[in-house]
Amino acid sequence: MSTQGQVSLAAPAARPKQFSQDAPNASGSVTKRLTNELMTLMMSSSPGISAFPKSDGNLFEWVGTIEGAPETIYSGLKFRISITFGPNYPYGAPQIRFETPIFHPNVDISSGQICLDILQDKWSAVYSVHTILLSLQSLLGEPNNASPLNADAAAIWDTPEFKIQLMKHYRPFTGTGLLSRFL
Amino acid sequence: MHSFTYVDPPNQNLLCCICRAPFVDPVTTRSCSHTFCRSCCLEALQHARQCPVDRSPLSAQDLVPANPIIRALVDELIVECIHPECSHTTQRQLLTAHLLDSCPFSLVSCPNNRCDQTLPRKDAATHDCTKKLVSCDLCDAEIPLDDLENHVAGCQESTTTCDACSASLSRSAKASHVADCPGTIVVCTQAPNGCPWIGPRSSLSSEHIHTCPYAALAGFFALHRTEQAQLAQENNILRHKIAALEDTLFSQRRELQSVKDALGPWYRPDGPGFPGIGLGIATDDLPSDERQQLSSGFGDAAPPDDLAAYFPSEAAAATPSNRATESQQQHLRPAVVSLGAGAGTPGAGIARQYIAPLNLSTSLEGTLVGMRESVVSLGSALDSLGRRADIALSNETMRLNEEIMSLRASMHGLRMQVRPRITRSAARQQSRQLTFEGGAVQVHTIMMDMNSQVTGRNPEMLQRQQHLHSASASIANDGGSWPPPSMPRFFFPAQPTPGTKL
Repeated sequence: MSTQGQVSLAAPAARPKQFSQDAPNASGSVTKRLTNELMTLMMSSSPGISAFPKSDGNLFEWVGTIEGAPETIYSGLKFRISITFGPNYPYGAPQIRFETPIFHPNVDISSGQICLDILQDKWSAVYSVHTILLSLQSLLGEPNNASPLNADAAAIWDTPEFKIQLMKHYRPFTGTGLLSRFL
Repeated sequence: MHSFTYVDPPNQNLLCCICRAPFVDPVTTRSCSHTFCRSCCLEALQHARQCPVDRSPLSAQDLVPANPIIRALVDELIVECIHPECSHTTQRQLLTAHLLDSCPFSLVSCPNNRCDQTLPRKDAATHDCTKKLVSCDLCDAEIPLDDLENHVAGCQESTTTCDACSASLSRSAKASHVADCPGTIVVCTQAPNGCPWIGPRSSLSSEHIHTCPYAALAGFFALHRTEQAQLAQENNILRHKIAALEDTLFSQRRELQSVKDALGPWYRPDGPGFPGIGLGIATDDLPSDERQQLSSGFGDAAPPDDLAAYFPSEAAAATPSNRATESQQQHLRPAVVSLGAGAGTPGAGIARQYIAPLNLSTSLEGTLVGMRESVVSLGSALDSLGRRADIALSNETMRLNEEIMSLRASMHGLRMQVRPRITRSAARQQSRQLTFEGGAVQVHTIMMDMNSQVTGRNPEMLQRQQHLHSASASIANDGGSWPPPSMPRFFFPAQPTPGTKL
């Protein structure tokens, strides 16, 4: 643990202010937490999910990979997502979007936007990148067809036609450099 | 959010699920018993009023301090000092004390409390404070270091040179030295008396004072000065006196003005010493300002001419003192009062009495004398008027008496002629009545009649009495009573009446 943060001591007000440091820095605490999450994510052994910052200098822009769970229709397919953290993270949800076109009832095929309650109004500060990725992975196998973002996909979910459409839109991404860099 | 660097990986159970770090000031929700850092939980509640873990409704009032065991566990975690240079590690709860009291890298203020600089504690001992007190080499004063140069430049103990004699001496002794330095430029001791000489002190007593013309006259100057002082003092006293006199003059002038107002037109500016000088002459002789004052004095009261209309003038009654003003008085429409006009005897030859006019041009005393004379002459005029009225009255009375006497004489003549006839007719009636009636009553009636004529008592009363006594008596009375009862008594001189004769 090499990161040295700034301290705002809960010192009694009567003491001299000679140690007064900067006020709690919002972006500093966010960075601290994101660093912590990255460590946790790299040390966890969750199959099929991974995420890293896009660049070394910016912890607020991440890119992630979700692999379809076994025995689901998405099994064997890899999808790339982008994660953008706001300055109020973890109190506000990060922006998550599918970079890889995915034919799914709850994902917009062209923009990649996801319709998932925990990414909107059901967000909680205790959620993390790890939990988000796990939720998305399970969403692939168990879509919420009651509130579809892609009505066509929801309509043909249980038909063989869905697999045809899925494979028609799927574009496997080639760049695995990021992943290989960390593994 | 507090950031500490923990030496050992902390127990996962002690991590806040929001900040992912060991709890700082942990709180536990009362409803669902989840534990967070206080600041993390309060921040989360601002975004959503529910428990971040299970989404059950939650408010800040539902947070209670976490179990003391949890607090002790997180407080006793070993952390590194926040200063990267400092290798000190301690329990988290002691880090504050370390930073405040012992960490050599904590910033502290100047140990002398003299400059505003802050510096790491390790450097404080060697701090070369620009404000620290140093003692002056020359004097013993304690001076801040950065002010030392200014101090030395003006230090009282620093060496300086006398401007006059170029002697080297300390600054504090310079003042006393200059007072008696022989080289100092001084003025002559007689400068107050006007000596213009200026030169070094040494040549003053040795050279100049022997040749100074003012020094030779020093005795004269001293005398002159005392004399001048006396004169000034005297002058001062005189000035006070003048002021007092001016006050007196002013008050007297005011009194005089009030007297003038009271006197009105009788105020004479010339005074009684110039009785013969007329008003016009006097004003002509006076300076213009006094004449103005004079005329204004008269202007306040009624002008003499207007007053004179009420007090008619008479040249004959003028007192000797106002003879010079007679010519003025002539035009004042002398009114003549005829005292005898109302007496009713125009031909009586009563002299016209002239009233002395109210002479306004004389003094008040003169006016009073004139008025007294007028009163005396009025008194004598009244007296003579009374005498004349007496004479006229007595004359008239005598004339009336004579007339009465002549009337009485003629009346007497007439009575002498009438009387015998009355007596005769009365005798006839008496005799006739005595025959008819008792004679006593008749005789009494006649006697009463006669008596009333003599005494002048009301004959009608007597007649009424007579009617009461006897109705027949009226017949005799009507026919025989003479003179009538209304005739005054004195027209009947005392003579024998018919009654008395009976």
